[in-house]
Amino acid sequence: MEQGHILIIGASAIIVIVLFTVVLFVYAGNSTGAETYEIRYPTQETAQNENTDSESASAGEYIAIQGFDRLIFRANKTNQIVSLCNPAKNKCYFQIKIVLPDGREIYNSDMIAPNESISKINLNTALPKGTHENSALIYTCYSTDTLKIINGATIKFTLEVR
Amino acid sequence: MKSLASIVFSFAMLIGCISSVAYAYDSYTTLEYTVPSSYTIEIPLYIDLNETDAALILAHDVELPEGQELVVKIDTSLSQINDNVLQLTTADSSSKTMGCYICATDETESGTGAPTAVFETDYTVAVFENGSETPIQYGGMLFTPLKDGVKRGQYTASLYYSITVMDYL
Repeated sequence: MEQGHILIIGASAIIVIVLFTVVLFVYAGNSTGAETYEIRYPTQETAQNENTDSESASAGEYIAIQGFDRLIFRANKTNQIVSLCNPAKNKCYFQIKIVLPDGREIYNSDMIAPNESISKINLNTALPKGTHENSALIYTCYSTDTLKIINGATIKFTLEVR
Repeated sequence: MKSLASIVFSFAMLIGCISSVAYAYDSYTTLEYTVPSSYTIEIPLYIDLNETDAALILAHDVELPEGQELVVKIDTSLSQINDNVLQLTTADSSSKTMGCYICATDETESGTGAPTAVFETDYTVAVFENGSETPIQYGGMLFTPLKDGVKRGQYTASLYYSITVMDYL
């Protein structure tokens, strides 16, 4: 092989190695900007692990309400996955409404008995993508004996529609 | 001819190296898991004001981000309450009413002392922080039925609460 050809191949190999090194450095430097696939779970899921055998002296005299600060819905769909439950220790039915900050009611449940939960709901209306801070989950509590309203609670949360 | 072959060979090596880097970039996957805020609040099921003048707000499994707290207030838009006075009514057709003074307290037992806080604007009854079942503010309510001049009957009212995760003020 002629000496000129050896020089060309050698120079080319050096260029390739240098370019490869540069590309590798650029790639490593930008790695945090890579496309991210997020796995998020509805925030109320972890709240489901309540210990129903709580030694609380309040069992039967208090109403336990599980809360969260964020709920995630799918955009443009009425059927949604949630995890809303009435803890077993309660002695009341729950009726749960979801209300947007502008006052629109998008969901109203049937009575939920103690130790029952809801995992699939159908909204009154599908929502576009967006974030609704100060949305409300309104719990109304009914006596299991008389079905009269006892009291209730409103949980403020951020509804994320993706 | 050999020079041309060398250049083509070098170029092919360069393309091969770059495309292998691009392949590695496309296969990059980031997994993310956000630990959510969650909590369990316990509100009184039933308060017999003939038996007690106090009630507690309890909390369990309070998991909050740093810098946030769980605030429980009386929801005055749903409860019949005004100027610290809850309106109780009879269920019969006469609809008689009776007032009941209500305030927040740090006391944890009935009748152990004077109320520690009269509501001014926001009707906060309990504040909890991350990981604690002990309220950092209040945690109880004291009731004083305004019985003078009230006619015989069974008077009832419903208390509604607003529960919010908020930034520390």
